[in-house]
Amino acid sequence: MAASVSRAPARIPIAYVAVLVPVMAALNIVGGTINNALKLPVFLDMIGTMVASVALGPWWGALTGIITNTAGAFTISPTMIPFALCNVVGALVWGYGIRNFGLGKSFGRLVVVSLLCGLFVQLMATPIVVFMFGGATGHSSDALLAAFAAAGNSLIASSFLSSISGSIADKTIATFVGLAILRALPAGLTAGIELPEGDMGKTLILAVVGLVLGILFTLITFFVISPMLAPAA
Amino acid sequence: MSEQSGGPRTVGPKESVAVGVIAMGILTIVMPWALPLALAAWGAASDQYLALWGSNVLIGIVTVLSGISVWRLKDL
Repeated sequence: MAASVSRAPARIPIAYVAVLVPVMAALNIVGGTINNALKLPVFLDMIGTMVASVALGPWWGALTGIITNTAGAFTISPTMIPFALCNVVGALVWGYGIRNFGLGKSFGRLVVVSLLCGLFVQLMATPIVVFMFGGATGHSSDALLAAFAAAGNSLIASSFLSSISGSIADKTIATFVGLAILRALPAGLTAGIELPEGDMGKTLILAVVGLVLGILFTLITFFVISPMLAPAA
Repeated sequence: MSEQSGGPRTVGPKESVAVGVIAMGILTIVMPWALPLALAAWGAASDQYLALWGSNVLIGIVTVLSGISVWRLKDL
């Protein structure tokens, strides 16, 4: 896919940045807190990062991600701090992918950017989980990691495999929920950014389809992949 | 940051890069606060990590200052 020159405005009013970055960081923290309370196999702390990186630019998204994980260390868990790098990677993939490479044009391309984001974020997360925390971070995927390790996989492979589907599910949900939020923002903020055409109704349908897709990824992990790889009793 | 005559204050690519550098500096500063958890995971603590902790914070401060310098650069 050839890179295209972004038609998004080069300069953004600072008022938009001053409002959007903290609000999106707060949205991330709320999502992360809900996820932490419900012990879901996803993360839900990158929806605001997606919105900020597409509406404002990848590095503003990176700032949103770092604010999220730094503040989240005090409200959710201190283990969030090193994972700020994952939020940064996600912001760069969404920001450059959708703003510069036109990966937001259609439903199919949005799925592709979700897959890429999930993959790159997981590639960033795996060394953090293994080398900083020895494999256990208190996330619900720890049990799956133990099952993969017991099946004879290395710790790095187990960590990657146990969270990749959850990561892709999470990024799919973030991409499509973020798309609905982007549509609700003032038109000036998303002018020149290629997003799927259609009214708010169509966007909401896309958001629901994205959510279902994300939940499907999670269910497949738990009910198909995990039993297949778990060691025989 | 540019001040256009009568227009709103805006930020562009230069400020975006500066923010990226500042954000990474902030992350470098706060990263050592996750260290006790990492040490617990490894099952051993070491005084040497205090030196690493201090160095990390110093590097972070320098990185934040670099980002501020980029922000304040005059366009050529």
